[in-house]
Amino acid sequence: MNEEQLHVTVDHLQCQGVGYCERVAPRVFRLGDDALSHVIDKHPPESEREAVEEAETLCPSRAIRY
Amino acid sequence: MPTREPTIREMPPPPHIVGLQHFITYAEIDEILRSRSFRQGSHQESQPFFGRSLLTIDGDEHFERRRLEAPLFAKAALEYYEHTELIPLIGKTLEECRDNRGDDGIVRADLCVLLRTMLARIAAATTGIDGVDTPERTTAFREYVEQLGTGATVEWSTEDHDEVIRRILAVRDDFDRDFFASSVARRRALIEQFHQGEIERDELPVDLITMLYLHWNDDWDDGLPIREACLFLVAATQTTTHSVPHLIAHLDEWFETHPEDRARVTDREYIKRAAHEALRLHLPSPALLRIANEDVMLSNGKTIATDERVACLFTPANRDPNVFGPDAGEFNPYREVSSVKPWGLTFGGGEHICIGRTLVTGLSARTDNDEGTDGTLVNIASALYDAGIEIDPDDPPAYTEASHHDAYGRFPILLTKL
Ligand code: HEM
Ligand code: SF4
Repeated sequence: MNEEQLHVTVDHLQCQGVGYCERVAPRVFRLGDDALSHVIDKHPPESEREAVEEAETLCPSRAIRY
Repeated sequence: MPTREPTIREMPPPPHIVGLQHFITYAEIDEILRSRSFRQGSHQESQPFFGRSLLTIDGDEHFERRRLEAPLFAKAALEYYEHTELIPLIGKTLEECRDNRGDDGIVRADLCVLLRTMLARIAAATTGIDGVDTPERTTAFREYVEQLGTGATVEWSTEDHDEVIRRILAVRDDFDRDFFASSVARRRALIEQFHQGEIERDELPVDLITMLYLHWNDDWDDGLPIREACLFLVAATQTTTHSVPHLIAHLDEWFETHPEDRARVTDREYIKRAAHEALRLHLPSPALLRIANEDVMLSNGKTIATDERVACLFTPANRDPNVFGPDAGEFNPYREVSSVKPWGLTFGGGEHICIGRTLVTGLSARTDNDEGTDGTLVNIASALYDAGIEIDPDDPPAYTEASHHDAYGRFPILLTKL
């Protein structure tokens, strides 16, 4: 596969802390005490791609980019 | 000159929430909605219509259903839907108004009826209901959705509640016969063809009914699809129909004091900002209820006991000066807010936050961005301004008598450029 490497970000101005991202991709996102999602692995392995894509679609605030 | 209703109306709390503990500030409601210590507390009597639908389930079951339905609102789906369905449907519905030209050559319409027609067609497309095409079929479908809406909000009804439920269940049987059953049959046949390898996945329709039958879960009862479809139909139509007249009324009033802005109706970014203000000030769901799973103490020290049902009142929260500034109670398309969404809590918060929001407000934060979509509100309002919408000066809009809500019941308009 020659997919580009993942580069995951969460826009904190958009995030509403619903936490769906953490539930589908717990290796990549963690909901902090500040009620915002934090990216704990900005460049996750290719095996996380599907989970990150699903997190992007599920995110009600469309705060995730990758 | 006939008098206009005030654009901002004071509303008493609806009777079914009297006696519950009320929450009215932005911060406390946001905290309750996001907390895992609460579950859905609305729609207890309306279970025959919404029971076990996305809105009324919680926890893991809710999360799995949300995952299943989220692809309907993926970027590609929204782009397809806006350009292939929404924009042509708006155009078609406006074209049909040309038949109502008066002797003076001007086209007149009731914006409420016009919106209900547009939204019925839009909701049919997202839900997956076929045959909402001719004006007659659209009227029949629209009336079904309105009746189903009455059943789904029976908690608010002033009639005998058991009687309403009985009546609307009979209406739903007719809806099943006239629209739903054949739409389901067509989709199930397509899904079968897909499973047999006769068609590709991307040849299947992108709508709720297809999604449910494609990913059927044996824990569901046979009545689930029609209840889930009712949720989508009611949630999609009543909300947007509520918001657009407020947007038009506010802009009309704003232009009286800011005439220099009148030319900006062709500026989609301006309309988008105005739409956010209309959404913030006039909530289609002014109160949401939640039930505590355990004893809770909020950050501000207020306490809620296990199994206590509480009411979150969005109207005061969305006019909270601590969040939206000293003029929070007024319409201002130039408002700048930081740290919260410009529409405040209008789409709810936490796990049940509106799944359809991106359809309404679009994907892109800005309208001058080629990526993404502008959403139904901007597209409908822009089409109305292109058609030369003016509020009928001789017949001012009026709120509906039937509700405590600030919902318009009639909104006569002229479409001077049609
Ligand atoms: C102006 C437009 C809209 C507004 C203001 C609005 C508002 C809301 C609110 C406040 C909720 C949360 C209810 C709760 O927490 O109890 C909600 C949920 C929901 N909305 Fe919307 N909505 C709008 C448009 C739509 C559209 C266009 C659709 C469908 C295509 C839709 C489908 C839903 C569904 C299915 C839910 C349940 C979500 C869940 O429980 O996870 N809504 N909406
Ligand atoms: S799903 Fe979106 S809104 Fe929710 S926590 Fe994750 S990034 Fe934030």
